[in-house]
Amino acid sequence: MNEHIVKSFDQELLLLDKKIAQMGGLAERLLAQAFDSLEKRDPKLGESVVASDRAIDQLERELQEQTILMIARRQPVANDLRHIMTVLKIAGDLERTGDLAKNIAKRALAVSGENHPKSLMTGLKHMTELALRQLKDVLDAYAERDADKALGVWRHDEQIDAMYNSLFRELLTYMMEDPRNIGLCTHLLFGAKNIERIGDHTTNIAENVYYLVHGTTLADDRPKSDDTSSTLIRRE
Amino acid sequence: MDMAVQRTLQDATSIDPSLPKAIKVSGRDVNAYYGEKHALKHVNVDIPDKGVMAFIGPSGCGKSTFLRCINRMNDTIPSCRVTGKILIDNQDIYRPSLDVVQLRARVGMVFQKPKPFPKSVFENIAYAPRIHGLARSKTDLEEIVVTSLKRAGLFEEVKDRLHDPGTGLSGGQQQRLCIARAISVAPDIILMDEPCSALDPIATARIEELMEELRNSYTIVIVTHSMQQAARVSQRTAFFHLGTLVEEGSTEMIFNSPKDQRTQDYITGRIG
Repeated sequence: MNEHIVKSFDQELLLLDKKIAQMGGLAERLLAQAFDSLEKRDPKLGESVVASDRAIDQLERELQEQTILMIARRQPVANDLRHIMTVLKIAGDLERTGDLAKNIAKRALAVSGENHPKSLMTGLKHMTELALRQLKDVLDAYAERDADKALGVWRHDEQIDAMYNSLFRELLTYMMEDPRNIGLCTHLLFGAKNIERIGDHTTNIAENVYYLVHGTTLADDRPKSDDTSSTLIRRE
Repeated sequence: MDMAVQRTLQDATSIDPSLPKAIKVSGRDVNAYYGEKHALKHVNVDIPDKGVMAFIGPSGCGKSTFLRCINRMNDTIPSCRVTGKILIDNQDIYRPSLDVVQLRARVGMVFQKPKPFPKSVFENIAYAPRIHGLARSKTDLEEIVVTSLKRAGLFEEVKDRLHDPGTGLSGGQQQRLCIARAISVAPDIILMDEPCSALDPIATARIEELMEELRNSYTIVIVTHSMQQAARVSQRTAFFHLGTLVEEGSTEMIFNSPKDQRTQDYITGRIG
C-alpha cells in the first residue's frame, strides 16, 4: 500500500499494530500460564498471571486513547478508519481474553488443596490448546491482513464449543458419582466456560479482520454448538 | 388493502435508497480541451434527480471543468472546447437551438468566492426574476425575494437591511445571498463550486445545513476539496483523477469501501 502524504500518520498506524501484537502475545501467554497454574495447582504462577493481566489492561487503555486521538486529528476514512476501529475493537476482545484467563488462574488458588485426579484435566487441556491455536491464528490473520485465515478461525470455533459440551457432561457425571468432586468440578466447569468465552472473543477478532480486509461484515450466522445452557443430566 | 397497491408499496420500500431513482443530468463521453490540453477525458456519469452529488479529486483533475460543462460556463473561456453529450432531462444542452440564458436560469451556480452584485440585498435577488419576466407585479417580485431569502436561510438576518448593499454582509451571509439569487429564478439544478472554501467553520455549517434542506427540492452538484464535507452533505460521490472519472457511487460506499485503489489512496491522503 502507498504511504500517506503525512508520514506521521503511517507511524501512528504502525504503532497501533505493534501494540495489538504485544497485547496478543500477552494474552496467549496468560492463557497458557493460567492453565498451567490450574493443572499444577501452583498458586504462585496463578498470582503472576493476575499481575500480567494488568499489563494487558494498560495496553488497552493506551490504544483507546490513541485511537480516539487519531480519529479526532486525522478524520480517517475507508481502510484507515476500518483499521483504527478494528484496533479499538480487537483491543477490547484481547482485554476480555486476559480477564477470563486471569479468572482461570484465580481458581488455581481456590483448588490448590483439593484432591485432583489427572484425568479430569485432560479435557480442559485440549480446550486450552485449541483456544491457544485459534488465538494465535487470528492474531496472524490480523498481522497479515488475511481474511481467509480469519474465516478459518471463525469456522473452527465450533470445535471448542463441541469440546465444551462434552466436558460439561463429563464433569456433571463426576459430580454425580461422588459429591466430594463438586468443589473442584465446579471450578473446572467455570474454567471451561471461560475458555469457551475466549473462543467467542477470538471469533469476534476474526470477524473484525474480515471487515478490515473486505469492508463488509460477515453476513451469515456462525455455526454454534454450545448447547450446555439447555442441558440437564437426569439420574436414570 | 388492494393487492396492487400493496405490491407497489412493497416495491417502493424494497428499493435501495442509495440507487438513483430518476436521472437529471447525464454526461456521455464528455471531453473538454483547453487549447491543446485534454482536461476531461471520456466522462460518463449520471446525476440523479434531487439530492446532492459531490465531485472530489485533486486540483486539476477536471471536476470543476465538468461542473462548468453542465451550464455551459465553459463557453465563456475562448480556448475551451467540449465534445460529447450532456443531457438534462434527456435534452442535449449543447444543441445549437438551445438558449444559453434560459439554460443558466435552470442551472444556477454558486462560486467559491461570494460575488454579490454591487447593489442592495433586495436588488441582488430581484434582478434575475425581473429580466426573466418571472414577476408580473411589484408584489410578485417582493414575494420572490422574500421566499428566496427564506429558502436560503438568510431572511431573518437581513429583513431589516433589505436595501443596504449586499456587499456589506459577512462572507457567509454573502454566500447565502448568492444561493438565494440562484434559486430566485426557480432552477432545477444548482452547481456549487467549492462554496465553502472561503468561509469559516460556522458559516460553512450554515451552508451545509441549507444544502440539507435544499436537496429535497433541487438537484445539487458540489465540487469540494473537503472530503469530510463531501461525506457529510452528499448522497452520491464521484472521484476524478487526471481528467478521468475514476469511480462513482453512493457516498457511503466511496468513503467506506471504495472499489478503485486510486480512490482509496486519494480519500485516505496517500495521493494528491
